[in-house]
Amino acid sequence: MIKKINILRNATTSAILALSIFSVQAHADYNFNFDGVASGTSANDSAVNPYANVSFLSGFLTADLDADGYEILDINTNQPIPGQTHWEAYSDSNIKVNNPLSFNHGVAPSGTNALNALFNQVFIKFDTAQNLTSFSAQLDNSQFGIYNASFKFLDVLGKTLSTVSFDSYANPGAIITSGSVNGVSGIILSGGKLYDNINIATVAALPEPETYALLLAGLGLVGVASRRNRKNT
Amino acid sequence: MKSHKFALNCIRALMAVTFASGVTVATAAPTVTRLTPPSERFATGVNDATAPMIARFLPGQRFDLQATLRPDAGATFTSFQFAVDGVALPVTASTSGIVTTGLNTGLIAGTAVVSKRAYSNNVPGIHILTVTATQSDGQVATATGSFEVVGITNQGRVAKNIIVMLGDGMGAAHRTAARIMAKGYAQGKAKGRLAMDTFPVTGMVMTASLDTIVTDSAPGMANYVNGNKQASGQEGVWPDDTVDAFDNPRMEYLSEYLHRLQGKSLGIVSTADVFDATPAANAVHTSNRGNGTGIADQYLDDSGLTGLTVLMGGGRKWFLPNASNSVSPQAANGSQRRNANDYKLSSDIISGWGTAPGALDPARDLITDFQTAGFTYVSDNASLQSVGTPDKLLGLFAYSNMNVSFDKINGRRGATSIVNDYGFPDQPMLDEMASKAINVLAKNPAGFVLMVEGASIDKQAHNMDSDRWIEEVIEFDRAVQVAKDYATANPDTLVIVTADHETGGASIIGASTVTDSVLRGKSNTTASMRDSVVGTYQAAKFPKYTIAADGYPATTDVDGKMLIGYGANADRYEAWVSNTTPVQDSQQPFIGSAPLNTYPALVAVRNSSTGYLVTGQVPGDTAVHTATDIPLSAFGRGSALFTGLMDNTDVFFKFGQAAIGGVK
Repeated sequence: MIKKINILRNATTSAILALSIFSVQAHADYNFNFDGVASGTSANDSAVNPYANVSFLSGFLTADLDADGYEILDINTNQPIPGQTHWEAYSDSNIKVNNPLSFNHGVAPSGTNALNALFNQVFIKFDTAQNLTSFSAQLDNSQFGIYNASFKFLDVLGKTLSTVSFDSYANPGAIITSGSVNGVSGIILSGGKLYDNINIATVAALPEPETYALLLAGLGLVGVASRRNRKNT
Repeated sequence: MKSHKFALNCIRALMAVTFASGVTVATAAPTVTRLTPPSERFATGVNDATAPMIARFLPGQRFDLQATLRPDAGATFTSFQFAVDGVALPVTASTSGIVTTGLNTGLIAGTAVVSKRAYSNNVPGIHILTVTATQSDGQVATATGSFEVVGITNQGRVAKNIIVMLGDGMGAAHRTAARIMAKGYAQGKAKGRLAMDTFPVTGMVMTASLDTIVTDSAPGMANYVNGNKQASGQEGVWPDDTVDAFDNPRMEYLSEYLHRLQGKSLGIVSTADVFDATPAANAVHTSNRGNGTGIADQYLDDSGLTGLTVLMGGGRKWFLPNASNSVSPQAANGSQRRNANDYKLSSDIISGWGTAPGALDPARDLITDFQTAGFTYVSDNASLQSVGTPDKLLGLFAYSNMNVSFDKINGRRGATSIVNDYGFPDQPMLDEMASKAINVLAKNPAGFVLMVEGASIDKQAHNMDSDRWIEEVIEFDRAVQVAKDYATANPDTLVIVTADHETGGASIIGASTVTDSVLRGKSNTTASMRDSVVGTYQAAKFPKYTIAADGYPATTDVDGKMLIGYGANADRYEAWVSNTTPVQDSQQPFIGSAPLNTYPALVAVRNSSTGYLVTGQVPGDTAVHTATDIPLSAFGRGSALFTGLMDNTDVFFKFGQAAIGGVK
């Protein structure tokens, strides 16, 4: 009886372990208040960003490449063609957290610091694609900003999945939110503003069929072991 | 909604009172004779999708809507309404103007100039502007125009700082001449490059203004920094039908837009009088570029809108009090402040734009007012160099236009005393001013917009004083190097070098075939001074100048010197050797007194005994601007945007893209 309980306990533990891993992925939240560090600290400092699979980078909109690897440009303007562009991320030591006051952008909406996107389009990059259930960020409290700001949610190729447009000039301190977006590998925050209290809620991407198969196989093995142990007892 | 109705009723009542004038007899339909912003659609009455958009704006850039309404004889207007894309704009009493007096001559009684101030539109695309006005007999006048909001693509890192290096009147020939003099050529190749030559991107600019192919400096500069075509002599405004030069419909400058959106600072540095067209066309709104008192006052009064932090150049005469309100006799302190060229704004401009009201105040001590507003004041190069890095800086180094580099350098060398004649022996060079300006502006973590003008490239090209304008380009290029150095150390900076127009139709025609001493011994005949001197093609060879340790030519009167001709010239006597003094500068307050009144009064009489007469193609006393496209060079973040042939207004939108949307 004791053995049975032990075996059951082991099997249950394995199952719970497997499910718990799934559970962590299912309800990952990434919350950034950019405080607790000195103004001027890198946004990727572990004290600001403790998440190994998230990084703050510079984003650039660039032309798609043709089959030969050349940029697809408008032959008349030599500029990228709308719709045939994608975002790329580059590491940038200038992606920092700053006290908005030091840029005359008022006090931070909370704490002392905010993410400085004044001179960059900040690219929040995920190592693996995420299914977002919600996204929100708070604009700094200043009257400065741009009229046609946006959050862009990108797929793994840097293509825009969806856009939330807003006026960052006319809405000091506003909390800009987005609903769910699946398959997000990056988020672009328009420049010209500092952002505070970025909250990202995700669930894991639906497992691929192979993942389901492995999971079911694992649970099946647990069940077989359980029956065998019952027979033995 | 109630307040809007109330305001509308107030305006209707006001108009009814204002226009009440006897019996109304409808003899013809009332009309709209002007609709601003200007558009081809209104001007032609044709909705031609291929016509160029005349008025373009960045998202949210502010501008005025205005219409001139012509009634039937004896009639009046009782209401007006602007609409954009069919949506009526609220007629708010405080920001809607109605002017029926002080109109230009020729307009019939009852004509009304109606405005809505400081409108803006965030939506990219072409928009339809309509105005509708109802006459007292119920007839309706309406007109349609169009404007465009140019979108910005948010696409990368932005240019935090923008530096505009403006060589006034500097065409391709001016740049080439400066390169030949400063760097030299050998075996067909330039032995060195000007700083502006090293910029990686070059384009060409079309310089026409709203009303002519040949622009003057006011629209020539303003078109770059507000994206719209302005008319001759006007800066920051469109034409209107009123006499007041400060009530014209406005458009927001780059400085105002980026100060409002991003908190950037503005710096203006010029070797000219700071009231001059180019510096003023970065911050001041007036239809008369000559209104010095009002222009100088607006610099300070509206510094809260423009972010003005550095102002340097000449022009002290507009900043000193003039209790007499007269320049006859000239005030002993050099002031030329007068009511006649001062400003006072209407209430709708004040409310709409948030400007200062202005005042007719010739006795104003503007330097003291600048200091009270936090500016540190410097009056010569010594104080400029020792001032450190104040938060705000005002530098006024001459009564009006500063001396040109030719005379400043010779003054520093002790070779001539022209600067002493002007009363300002210690004037800074342009690179010294630019360096200080950048240091002050760089204190703003939000960035800055800086315009640095080499003003007398133009002024001396007008005078066809070749040695002086070539050295002026060299001085300007040393300031370009300062800007380039800053942008190299601070790669979030964009620098462009360009001109507002070309001056003189300047051409490098060749070089002297004789030594300087032989040249000075020539008689003033065409045969002697032209036919036996001017070497063209192979005879020109490669003129050789020696550059002194101070960075300027030891002398411009070298053997076999480079010779300049002018394709847009007035009559002149050409002697080829450098002129001992410049011609008189009518802007100087003491030009009527010795020693300045001993300088040649006019180009037409200069060298009349030593030079041969070159008959000009243009009337008047000086060479003129030309419509020639001018080169533009760009360096730093966003520089790649400035290639190809562009309209001068296109430059503004490239600034907007670089400063707001960023670049890859």
